[in-house]
Amino acid sequence: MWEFPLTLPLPEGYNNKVRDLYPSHEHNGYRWAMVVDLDRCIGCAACAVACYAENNIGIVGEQQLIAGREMAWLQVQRYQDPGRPEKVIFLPMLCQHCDNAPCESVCPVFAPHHSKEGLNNQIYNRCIGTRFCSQDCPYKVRRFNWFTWQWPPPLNLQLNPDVTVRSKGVMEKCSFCVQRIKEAHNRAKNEGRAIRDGEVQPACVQTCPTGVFTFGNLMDPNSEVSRKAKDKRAYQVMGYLNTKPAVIYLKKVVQEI
Amino acid sequence: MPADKYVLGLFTSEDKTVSAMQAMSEAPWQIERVHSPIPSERILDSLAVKKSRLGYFTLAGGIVGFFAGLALAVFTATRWHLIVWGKPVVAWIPFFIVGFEFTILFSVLANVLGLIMLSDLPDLNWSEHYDPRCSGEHFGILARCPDGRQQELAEFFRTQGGEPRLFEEN
Amino acid sequence: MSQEFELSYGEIDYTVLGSLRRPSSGYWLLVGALVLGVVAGAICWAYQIAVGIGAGGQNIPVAWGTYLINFVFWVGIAHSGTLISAILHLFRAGWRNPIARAAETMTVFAVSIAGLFPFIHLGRVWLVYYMLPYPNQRNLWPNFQSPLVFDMVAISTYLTVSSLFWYTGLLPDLAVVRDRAEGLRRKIFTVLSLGWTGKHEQWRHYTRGYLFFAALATPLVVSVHSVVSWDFALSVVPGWHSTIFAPYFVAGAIHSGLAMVLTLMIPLRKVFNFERIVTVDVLENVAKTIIFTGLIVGYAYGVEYFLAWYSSNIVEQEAFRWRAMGAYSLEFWIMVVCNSLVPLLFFIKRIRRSIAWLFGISLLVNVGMWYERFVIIIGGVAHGFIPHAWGLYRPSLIEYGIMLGSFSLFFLLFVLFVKHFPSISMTEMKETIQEEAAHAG
Repeated sequence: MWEFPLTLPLPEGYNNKVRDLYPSHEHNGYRWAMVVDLDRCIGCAACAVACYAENNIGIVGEQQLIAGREMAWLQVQRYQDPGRPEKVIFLPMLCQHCDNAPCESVCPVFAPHHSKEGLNNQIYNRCIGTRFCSQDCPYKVRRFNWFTWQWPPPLNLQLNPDVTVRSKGVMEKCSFCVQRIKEAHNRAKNEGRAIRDGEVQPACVQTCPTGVFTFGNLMDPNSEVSRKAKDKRAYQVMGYLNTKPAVIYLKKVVQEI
Repeated sequence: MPADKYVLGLFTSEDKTVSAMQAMSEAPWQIERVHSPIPSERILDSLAVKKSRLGYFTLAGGIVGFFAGLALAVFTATRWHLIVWGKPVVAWIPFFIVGFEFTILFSVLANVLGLIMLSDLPDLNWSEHYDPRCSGEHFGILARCPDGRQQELAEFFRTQGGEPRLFEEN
Repeated sequence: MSQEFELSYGEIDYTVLGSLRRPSSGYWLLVGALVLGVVAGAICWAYQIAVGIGAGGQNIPVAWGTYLINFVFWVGIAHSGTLISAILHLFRAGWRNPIARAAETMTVFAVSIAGLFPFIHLGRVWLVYYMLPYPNQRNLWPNFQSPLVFDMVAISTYLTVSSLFWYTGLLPDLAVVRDRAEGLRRKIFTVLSLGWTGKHEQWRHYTRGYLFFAALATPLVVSVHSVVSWDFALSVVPGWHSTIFAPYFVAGAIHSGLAMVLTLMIPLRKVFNFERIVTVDVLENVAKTIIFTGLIVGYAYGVEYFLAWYSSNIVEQEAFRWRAMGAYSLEFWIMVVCNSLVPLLFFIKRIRRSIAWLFGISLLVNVGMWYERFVIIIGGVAHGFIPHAWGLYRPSLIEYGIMLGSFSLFFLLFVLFVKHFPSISMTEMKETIQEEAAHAG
């Protein structure tokens, strides 16, 4: 489990003889992915705030937050060395959009499934709230609408009209700001071209003051994400589960042994 | 020509019933049917009935069920070709489970259907020539005789250790 | 079995039909109390539907709570009914006959109640029909790769099969009641018994059909709890993702179900004076089977720890260390003691023939098996892969209310059944003494 290779969500990430039962699946021109450079992260959580604003994420209040019902699609997890409390490691955790996503096949109604561009889609209208996907997600990034959250006026005016407001009983999670991807698709189609590298910027990417996040098409070998994924510091969280996450983290090993 | 008459001989044990049935095969009486409170191999043996063909229903149901379950799973999966957990769209291992459960479901439904059809249930004329004691402690042999010989038949049941009951309507 | 020789057909009918006599006011008091419990549960559920599933105590990471614990618990209870009626029928174990009817009844009601819990559990129960495979205007179909769809297929098959099996077994007895009843009851039982007269043509197909029923119910019962276990084993969660789960769950299911049989039969035989039919020998045989299932369950607990250690996987190892020593260690030790250690007392003959001990131990095993599901379902996800997402869960009052409702509903259905239908199979009892007599002669 310690020596597991980087398994990118691309055909080269599959090794049928050794690790995989099934062959890789095809993507349609794009395979969206994100690179998170942890060495740049200062833990300010601007990404999480931007995500709340962009995606109309429910505000649960103190009581529900303590009860474990926070809705953040992206949260900055903090890990501390108990012996040296000044040494904190930040880990922005969001849906990993795995190629082999454990959450998908357990759903009885196909609410989460794999899109042609590699996104792990969550269809709110389809979801009946079995919460099995969340149980099976090793990253625990799925969020459930335990109640219908309220935006008392005038807060309702800050809701993003491009994103659905979810009601009670529905599972949700990071969509890689699919509304922005769709917008880029439309623009590119109108101009008769492919989406340019860096054209799509999810809210967290756009907001980060230190440039932690890079978003792009992993199928394009010249894109910035592809380039950064080749970095020596690249790893995937719990890569040994072989879920082939599309979020690749960069971190210099500073642990003293 | 007057219709045949029925006499029901009631016995208190399986032994007496079986020996009466054997005696009857030499007597001129026709056994119409035998009631018993328990399923009795010995009674069925003495009547030399064939083994029930219910199994064919059950088997057919099972075979249909297995393929119906598989077909349903394959059909639904191929409507949209949604990929989940990187597995193939038509995934035989999980679909086999669906096939298995359908096998059991359909064979049981066919079994019940067969049981209802073969044993003529629900039987609306059940109370005809029937004695309620037959569901309690008594075995009953219903025999048929030509009109006018009922007393003779009743006497035969008495000598076999049974208690006759005569049905006066045909 | 010496007592059974003294029984006659007439006595069996008399004793069993005696239980259908006009009930006392105490009976109606009990029914009234149980109805109140059901209503309380229903109100809790209605409240939960109105405000959202957050009325329960679930959260992220523990998104499944008592609803699925109770689901697995009740499915488990259901299993021993089929074990007793089908598997022991195939093995020709005569001691099953006095308790088979009650156990089958328990099965049917327990599966029905288990089947309610996935509904209660859903975030949007009003859309539950999305799971059904039928052509619809949404042009969408369920996902047959999902363990929940296996579950739906398996549980609905199980409910159908066990109900039909139960009814088929009941048919000759319904005719017995019909033949001895008057007035309205006679009319009702005339319809229910479908004109069964016990003629040889009916028996010829019936015995065959019953045999096939038993032969089909046997693989079904094994498959159903295996499928339930795959709700857990087909995931990646540490403590769930294990190949031992299917046999482990099947054994656990039968373990809890046998305990529930004792819990139900001991008061039943007392109230209805069934002591001569449901003899201490029969209860002793159930107790012996509980030793066997208890040993399998205890072995499974041990194997889980061995696998965690042998896997060299630190997540797995931590999950199992935490299980015994973490926030839910009390529940874990209740589970181990009640399920694997307490049943070992049945090795002592005096204990397994004492009604008080049998009843007490059966209650403890029930409690232990409930906590086994708690430990597995809650403990697995509460302490999963990502330390930042570790969390705890406690059931809310609403959940306790729904749980009270489910237990009330189960006992209500059971109490109504035993007073209005023959709770012991007269036909099979008669068969038993017939065979005993044949062997003796």
